[in-house]
Amino acid sequence: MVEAGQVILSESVATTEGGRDELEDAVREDGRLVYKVAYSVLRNHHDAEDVAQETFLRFLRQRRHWAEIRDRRAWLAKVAWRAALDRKRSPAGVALEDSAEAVSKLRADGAGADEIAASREMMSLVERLVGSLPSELREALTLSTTEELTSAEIAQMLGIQEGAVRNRLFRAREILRQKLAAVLETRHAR
Amino acid sequence: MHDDKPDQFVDELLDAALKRYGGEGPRAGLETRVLAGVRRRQGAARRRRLVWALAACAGILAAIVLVLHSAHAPSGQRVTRASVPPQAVKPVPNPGSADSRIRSPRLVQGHREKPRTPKPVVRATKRPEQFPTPMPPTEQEKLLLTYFANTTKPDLLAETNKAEGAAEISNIKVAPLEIEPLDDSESGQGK
Repeated sequence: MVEAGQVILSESVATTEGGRDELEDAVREDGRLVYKVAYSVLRNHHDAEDVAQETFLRFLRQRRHWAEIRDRRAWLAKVAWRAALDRKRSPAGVALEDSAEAVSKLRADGAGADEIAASREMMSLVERLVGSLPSELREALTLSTTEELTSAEIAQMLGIQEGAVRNRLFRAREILRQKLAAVLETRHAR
Repeated sequence: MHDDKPDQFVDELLDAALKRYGGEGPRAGLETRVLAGVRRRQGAARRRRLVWALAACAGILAAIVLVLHSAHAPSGQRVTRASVPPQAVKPVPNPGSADSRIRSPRLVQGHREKPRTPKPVVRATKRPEQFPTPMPPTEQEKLLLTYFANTTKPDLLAETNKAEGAAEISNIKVAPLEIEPLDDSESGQGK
């Protein structure tokens, strides 16, 4: 795989030597970030890779303006974020009731937090809860879960102050905790 | 009041869930796939641009050919039969002029006309039995034509002989020519 990758890297898509190097550097250094930003929105590996390709294609098309891009990492993350939002479809996962029922059953069976969190039902439940957040809170929380961006970079992407990012993250987490507790409490009471 | 244990469990569960929410990371070979995908998409975009450019060139060429063709075509061919007014078959001042030829019903039928074209309005009018006269005759011409129509040829000749000028010519007497013989001395000197 590595050899094939090197071959493709050598057969670069860029027309100039400088463009080739720059694109390869960007993919090597920021490919993971771009992918994770896209994945945080799309929740799908295939779609996230598509968005990553689209992001770097846009980056290549902007090669005449590369000198004007001050922070390539932030620029790529922003483009990937927007492309993912454009592509985002409504989730068609498991219903909230079914997910909550399955998670409650796991808890009743004595499963630990990590074990429950790894389950498909819990992931579906979290996706539903995150999706129910107000958009400003959801965006900040989604970007923070990539674990690739600092608060300052998220603030730059969203065009807000860094303190506002921290505030939104706190509020989002608080809402999620209350909703999750309510769901589990309801199921546990039954 | 909630006891601490459920709250702690929910916090732990939320932390673990949000940690997994970000995804486990891309599969191996992401850079390879991304670069290959970018190359494929860029190639497709180039081909698409090429097709559009060729289509645009073909359109421009077709427009140029149409313009040149219409510019070189004779103007008479652009006159459709339906557009010729009925007055066009009326006598025109000069039958030999180009304008009259253009308006002639026969020439109006251009070679580009489709055979299934409905009959023109021009055909509906009565076609003249005689080719139209260029101009109506003047009064003098009318008198002359009337005179010739009512007079036979012998009468015309007799009328001519009666003319006064002819009588004067017949009365002229020409004296016979007298030529004197040449003198010898004069002829010798002449030698």
